[in-house]
Amino acid sequence: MRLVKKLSLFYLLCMAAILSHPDTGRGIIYIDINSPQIRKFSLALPAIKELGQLPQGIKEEAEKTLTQDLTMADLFYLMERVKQPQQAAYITEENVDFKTWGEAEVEFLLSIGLKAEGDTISIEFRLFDIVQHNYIAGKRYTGSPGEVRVMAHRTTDEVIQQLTGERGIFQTKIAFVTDRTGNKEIALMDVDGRNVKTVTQNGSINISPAWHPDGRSLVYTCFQRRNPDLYQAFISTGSSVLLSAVPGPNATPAWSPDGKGIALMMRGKGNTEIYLLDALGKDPVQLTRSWDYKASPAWSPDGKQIAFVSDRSGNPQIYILDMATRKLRRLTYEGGYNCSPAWSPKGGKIAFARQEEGGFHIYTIRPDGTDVRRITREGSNENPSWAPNGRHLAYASRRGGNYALYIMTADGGGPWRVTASESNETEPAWSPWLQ
Amino acid sequence: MVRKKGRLWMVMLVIISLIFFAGCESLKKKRAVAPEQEKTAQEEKEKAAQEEQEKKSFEQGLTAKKYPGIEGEVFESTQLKDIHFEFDQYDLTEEARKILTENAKVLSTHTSLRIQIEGHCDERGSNEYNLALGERRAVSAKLYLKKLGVQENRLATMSYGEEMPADPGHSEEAWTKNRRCHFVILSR
Repeated sequence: MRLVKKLSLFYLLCMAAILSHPDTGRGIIYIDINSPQIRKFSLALPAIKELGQLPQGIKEEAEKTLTQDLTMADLFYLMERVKQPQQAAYITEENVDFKTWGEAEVEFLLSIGLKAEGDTISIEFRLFDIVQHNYIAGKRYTGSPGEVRVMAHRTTDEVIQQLTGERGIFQTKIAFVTDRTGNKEIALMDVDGRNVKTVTQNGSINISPAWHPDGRSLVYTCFQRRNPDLYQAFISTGSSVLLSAVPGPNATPAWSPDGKGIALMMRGKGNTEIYLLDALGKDPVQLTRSWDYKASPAWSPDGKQIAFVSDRSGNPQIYILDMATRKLRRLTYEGGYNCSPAWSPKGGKIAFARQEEGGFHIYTIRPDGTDVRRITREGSNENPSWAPNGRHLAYASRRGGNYALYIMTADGGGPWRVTASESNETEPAWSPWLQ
Repeated sequence: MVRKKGRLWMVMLVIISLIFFAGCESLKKKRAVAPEQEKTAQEEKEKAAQEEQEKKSFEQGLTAKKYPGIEGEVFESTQLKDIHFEFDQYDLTEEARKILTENAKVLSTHTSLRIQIEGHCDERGSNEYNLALGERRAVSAKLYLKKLGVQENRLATMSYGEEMPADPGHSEEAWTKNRRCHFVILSR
């Protein structure tokens, strides 16, 4: 009798476990990245196979980009090459040896081939679920040899999409402030720090880039007319237009999630307040009204709240403005100096910087003020900016020398250093989805 | 007959003397008036010369200043001195008040000057909030100058935050130099 009871209980528990498995309805989710205790999965990326004669260095570029991306995705343990079973042939769904890979304790296998066809090259990938003995998916991308990195980024994004059901961030960009010309200018780069492009080159002081939600332009503040004025730079044309030149700061801008307005800091009556400009940078509407000084508005993803910095308590702390009621509530109570709020695109967390002994650290907090967590460990870390996946963060960090840009995940993955130069790179602004 | 003539001569002498002395008196008065008039005229001349001298030395103490990457030209005066602030503070120290009092005197002497009060911060703290702190410092200085009688429409303010340090170094010394209000002349 006892045994039957035990077996029934065991059976019931198994059924409960199976039935409670999350399913988005889009297909099988291999890795649930919304689960609080995400573990990493072992992934093997065997050496890329060159299928034919390829231009010099293409295979190395692809390898490097893929390995960097897959590491930064913070989902996988990338199995070292030396530990992988040796495979002479190019692995396809026809010849994949699930048993051997399974014995090596690999969970996922990513087989990559490179082909050259005249002037173009192709990257093809095949993704296998070793545990289930399944061929998950495969794709081929074609482009010029110069586009090998773009194709590798696409491959990583597709792998992430297949395994998690969520988009990968490896085709997004990061805008930032750099002083490599001796003065502060705005520039743009890929998530791996490559492909740096100039956005401003006016020789003046340019700060605080902020993206339009359509990813085609960004706003920034420039001092060239002897006032901190607001400009809009268009990525495709490389040109800038003056949006707002009201005397006093037109600074720390943030586009609303629906693209219809720009929240920013402007001069109030003997102080600075949060204002809202329309999409053309005109008709300022004053959103806050009190004697204290305010800066750094950051929208919630539903556009209903704005987090910002105010010194009404004596030093900078973070407050939240409800757009419907125009009422304020205080968010941060610990720490003597809290600034640079950044609201996760997923809504559940706000990142910010807290000044502590010897420098700044980045924290996250829930919008209701609970669950305050410090997520940086070393150096002085400022200006957090969320990736559109609501998981990765870019920030500026100083470890004794100059400022460089780093990426980490909100649950402590990384950090990975992205820029490596003698100049200072600060104020990263992660783009929205671009594809 | 001789006695009568003598008396007549004496009377004439007295009369003439009286006339003479009366004339002297009025001469004295005339001389007394002229030096006073001369004195005022002299004073005015001296004052004008002094003003002329002050204007000259003020002009000589002016340098045209062009900031790299920023349009337009302003003037700096050796007579308009910077004030400095404690870390994270925007209230005026006693030293700052003394300097602002001197600056106010310059502004009341040269009444056509229009100045811009720049607020600056050291590099610590968030560069976004430092734009607000720079505003606070500029406004502090402006309100004090206004209290000392300078017309508000002659005083523009602007914050540079931490973006235009006087000293690009990372030491306490550099930071102290950077926490300042700087005064530039927009027009005169």
